[in-house]
Amino acid sequence: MKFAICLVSTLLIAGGCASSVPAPVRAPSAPNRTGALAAPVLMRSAAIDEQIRAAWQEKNVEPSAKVDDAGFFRRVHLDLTGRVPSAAAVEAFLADSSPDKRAKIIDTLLEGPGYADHFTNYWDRVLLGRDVRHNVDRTEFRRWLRERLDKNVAYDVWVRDLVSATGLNTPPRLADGSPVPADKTERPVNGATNWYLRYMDSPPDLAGTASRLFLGVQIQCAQCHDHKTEKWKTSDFQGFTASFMQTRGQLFYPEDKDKKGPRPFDVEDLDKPRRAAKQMDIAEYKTAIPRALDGTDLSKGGKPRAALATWITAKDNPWFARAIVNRMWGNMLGRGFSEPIDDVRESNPPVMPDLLAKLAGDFVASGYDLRHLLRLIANTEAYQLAPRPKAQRPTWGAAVDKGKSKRAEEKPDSSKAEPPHHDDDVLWGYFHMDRLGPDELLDSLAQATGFDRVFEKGPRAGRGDPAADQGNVEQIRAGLRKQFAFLFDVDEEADHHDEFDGTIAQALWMINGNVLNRSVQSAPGNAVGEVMAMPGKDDKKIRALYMRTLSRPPTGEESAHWMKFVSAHPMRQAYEDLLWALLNSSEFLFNH
Amino acid sequence: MQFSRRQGLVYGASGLAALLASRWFGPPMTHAETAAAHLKSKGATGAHPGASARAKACIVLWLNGGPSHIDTFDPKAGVATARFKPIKTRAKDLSISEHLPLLAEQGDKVAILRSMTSKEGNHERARYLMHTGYIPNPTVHHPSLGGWVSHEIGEASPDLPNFVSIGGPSLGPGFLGLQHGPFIVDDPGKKPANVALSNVGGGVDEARFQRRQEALGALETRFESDDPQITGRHAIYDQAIRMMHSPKLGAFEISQEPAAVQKDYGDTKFGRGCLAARRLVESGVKLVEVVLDGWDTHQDNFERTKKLMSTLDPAFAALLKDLHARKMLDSTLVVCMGEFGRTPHINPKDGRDHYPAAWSAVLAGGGIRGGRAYGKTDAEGAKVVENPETVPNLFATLTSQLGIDPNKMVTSPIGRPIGVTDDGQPIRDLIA
Repeated sequence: MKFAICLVSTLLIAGGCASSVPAPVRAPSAPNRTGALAAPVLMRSAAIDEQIRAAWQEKNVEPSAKVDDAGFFRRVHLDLTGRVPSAAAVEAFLADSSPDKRAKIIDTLLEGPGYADHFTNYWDRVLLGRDVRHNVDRTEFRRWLRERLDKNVAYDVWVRDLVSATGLNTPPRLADGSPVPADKTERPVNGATNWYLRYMDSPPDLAGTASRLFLGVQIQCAQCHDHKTEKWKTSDFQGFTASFMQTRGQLFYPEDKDKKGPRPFDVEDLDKPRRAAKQMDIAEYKTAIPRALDGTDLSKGGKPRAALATWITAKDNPWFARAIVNRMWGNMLGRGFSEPIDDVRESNPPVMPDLLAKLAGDFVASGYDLRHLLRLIANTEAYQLAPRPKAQRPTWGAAVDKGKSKRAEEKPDSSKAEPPHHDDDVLWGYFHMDRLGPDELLDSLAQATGFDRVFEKGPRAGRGDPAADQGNVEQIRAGLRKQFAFLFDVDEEADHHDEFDGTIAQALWMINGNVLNRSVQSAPGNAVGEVMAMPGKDDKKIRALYMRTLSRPPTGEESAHWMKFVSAHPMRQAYEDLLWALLNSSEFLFNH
Repeated sequence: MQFSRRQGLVYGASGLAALLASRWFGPPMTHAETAAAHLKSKGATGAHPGASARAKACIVLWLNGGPSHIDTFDPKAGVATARFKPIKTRAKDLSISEHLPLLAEQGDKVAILRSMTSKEGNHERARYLMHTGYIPNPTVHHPSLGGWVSHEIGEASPDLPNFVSIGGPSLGPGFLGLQHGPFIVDDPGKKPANVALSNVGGGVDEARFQRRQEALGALETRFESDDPQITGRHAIYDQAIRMMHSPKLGAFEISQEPAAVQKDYGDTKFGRGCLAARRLVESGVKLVEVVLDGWDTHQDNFERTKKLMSTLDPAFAALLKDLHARKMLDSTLVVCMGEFGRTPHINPKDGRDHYPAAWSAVLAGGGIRGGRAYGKTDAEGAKVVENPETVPNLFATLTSQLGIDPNKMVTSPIGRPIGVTDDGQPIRDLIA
C-alpha cells in the first residue's frame, strides 16, 4: 500500500511538502525567533485571504463584516490564551491607533505565558481526557507539555517523544512524600509516559487515539470489521496496534505500598510482545506484524513503537501535518477544512483541499512551528470576521418594558429561520461562535472577577477548609477543574459541537453555585469590591464591569438602562446582580 | 402561554423563564411537535400506530464495564470455567447465579435475553452502541435512548428533567438538542447540587433572584442570535430555573422513604440510586439510568463479580418488588445490561476478558413477558445457539414498548435521515 488516496496525491502535488523542503528548523523558538526562520519563505496570511476570497466569489458567499476591535481583542485572547483580557488591556487596545495593532497583539500573546498555559490545558484535555486512571500523574504530564509549549519545541519532535516515551511517569518519593531529585532517580522521569499509561490496558484504544489525533485517520473504525466505505481493513488496524504491544508499564517499586504520593510506573519497550493477560481483544494484536498505515513494516529495528513514532512524524508522511493544520484551523475558526476535525478521508473530503495542502506544506517548512501556524491563522481575514448577523436585532430594552411577553410573541420564531447558506458555513463566511470550554470558562471567571484571589485570603480562609487555608490558588483551581470537568465536559473527545453541550447541572452551577455567588459577592480585591471603591459615578462603574466581563464598553442605551437599575436597588446588591447577569450572559459564555 | 402562566403562579411572571421561554417554547406542544420545526419527520409522528405503549417510563440499570454473563444471568452447570452454581428462581425453568438469591424470588417478573450478540469489544464503542443502538460513526452524533425518550414522549416543559442519569455520564442527546440530554446526579438519594437558592453573603432571596433573571433577560435580548447554541442554552437555563422551583424536587431525596424500604434496596450508592429512580419515575421522569460500575473484571473475576452481585441483587430485587407493589411495574420498563459479556475462558489473572459474541440483557415490566429466558448459548456460554438477537432489535423492543416507533425516521440537522433504531425489529416473543 502506498500513499495513494486521491486527497493525498493532491496534497503532495499542491503542497510540495514531501521532498522539496529544506531540513526543518528544529527549535523554531530560538530567542530571536523571527530571525531564526530566515531559511524557507513561509506563507503569509494575505495569501490565504486571496484564496478564500476567490472561493467566496465562486460560491457567491457574502462574508460578514470585519469584527470590531473589541470583539477581535476578546476573541484572540480566548483562542490564544484561553481567557478574556483584563479590562486595562482592553482599554489600552481600544486607545491604540496604530494600523497594525491586531498583528502586534497576536505576536504578543503567542510569546506570552498565557499561550503555554492555554495549550497545556488544551493538549491535556485532548490527550488524557476527563477521567484518568489512578496510575496517571496528570500534574507531571502537564509539566512535560507546558515545557514543550513554552519553549515552542517543534511539533514533530514532541509528538515523536510522546509516542515513544519511556521512563518513570512520576518521580519516586522519599519517606515524607517529597519527590526524589531528578539526578538521583534510578530511571529518568518522563512525564510523557503518562499518555501511554492512560491507555495501558487497551492498546487498541491507544492506537485509535494516536491515529485520530496525529493523522486525522479514524483507523479504529476498522477495529471490529473492515470499513464499509474506506480502504481500511481490520488487518491494518491490527498492524498499527501491534506497534504498541511491545511496551509495558509496571510499578517501579512494587513493594512500597505505604509511601505517600503517587507511585511511579516504569514504561519500557520489550524485545517481544508483552506478557499481558491473554485478553481476547489483545491476542490478535500480539501476533500481527507492526505496520504503519502505508504498510511499512515497523518490526525491523526491534522497537516498533519508536519506529511508529518516527513514521508518524516523518517529513514525507502526508497525514501528519495536514491533521494538525486542520485541527488548529478548526479550533480557531470553529470549523475545519474537514469536519469532524480528526476525520479526513476520501468520503469526507475537506473543502479547499489546495489551501489545506499549502498550509500543511508551510507548516513543515516552518519546522513544525505551532506558533507560526497560529499566527498565520489569526491574521487571516476569515478569522477576523464578525459572527453571523442576526436576522433582526430588537431594540434595546424591549423585553423589560411592560407587556413584554406579548411583544415576545410577535417576534419571528427563531427555530423556523431559514437554515444558513451552506457555503457561508463551510467556507468561513462568518465567525462560528462557540461556547467557552471548561478551562476557558474557569480562567475567564477568575480574570473577570478575581475570585481566586478572594478564595486565597477571603471568606473561606481559616474556616477549616484546608485548600483555602493553604492559600494555594492552583490547588483550588485544580479542585475546581475536576468539578468543572464533570459539570462542563460531557464529551471531551469532541472538540467542538453543533449544539451547546451545556447541561442543567452546569446551568445550576452558574446560576446558583457557591463559587459563582462568591465571585459576584463584593469583597476587597474582587470585581464588585474594586468597582464599588472606584471614584466616579455609576456610569464609570458600569463601564468597568462591562470591560471586565464582556471586554467592551457598554453602549449608551445599555449604560442608561443599568444606571436606572443601579439607582432602583441597594447599590451593592445592584452591582452584584449586574455582575451575576453579565457572567451568565451568552455574550460572556461564548467565544463570538 | 401555558408555561408562563404556570410559572407565574410559582414565582412570578418576570423571571428569565417568562422573559425568554415564550419565544423558545411557543405554545404548549410535545417535544415531538416542537422538534418538527428543525427536524423534519418522515412517517408517523409521536406514538406509533398499533404500538402497545405499555410503558410510560424506563429505568436502565447500567452495569458498567461489561458483566460476565456466565457468572450472572446465564449460569452454566457442569463446566469447569463456570464456578458459580445456578439456582432456581420463582419462575419454573429459569435459573440465575447463586449470588442473586433475592432477584431469584422475583424471577417471575424478569425475561432474560441470553442471545445478545454484537461486534463491539471496546468499552467506549460498546458503551456508545448500548446507549444509542448504533455503532459509532464520527459524522453523526446519535441520540441516546434517554434522548429519544425525552424527545418523543417527554413533557415539553417538565418540572424535573425527562432524562436523569444517576452515577454516570450516560450519553448525550446527540442531534436532538441538549434539552434532551441527561441530568446527571452524582450523589444519589439527595437533592441535587445548587438547586436551593444560595445563602452566600447574606443569601439571595426569591425577589433578588428574580431581579437577577430580569437583568439577564435584558442582556440576552440584546445578544439575540438565531444560533442553535444560544437557543439551546436558553432552554437549559429555563429548565434549570424551573427545576429549582419545583415542588417535585423531593423525588431525588430517599430520606423520605421508610427505613425498611431503604434497607431493602441496600445501603449502597447503587441501591440509593435505584430507590431514587423509582421516586423519580413516580414524579414523571421518563428515563432514569442508574450506574453500577466495576464489571470490567480482567483480574479476579469471581471475587469481584460476586461482590458486585451483592450490591446488584438487593437493589434490583427491591426495585421490581416495589414497582409491583405500587402497581407501577406494568407501566415501567426496566432493563439491566452492560457493554458486552465476558469470555468463557478464564485468563491467568483469574479474570475474564471482553466478549461481545454472546451475552445477556435482562428486561422486566412495561409489558414484557416475565419468568423466562429467551435465546440460548452453548454449554460454555461461548456461542449463541438459539434466536440470536442484535442490539438494534433490543432497542426496537424497548422503544416499541415505550410507544415510540422503532422505524420512525428523523432528518438530522445536516440532512441525513436517521431512524429511531438502526433498522431494529421488536422481539415479539418477549412481549406479553
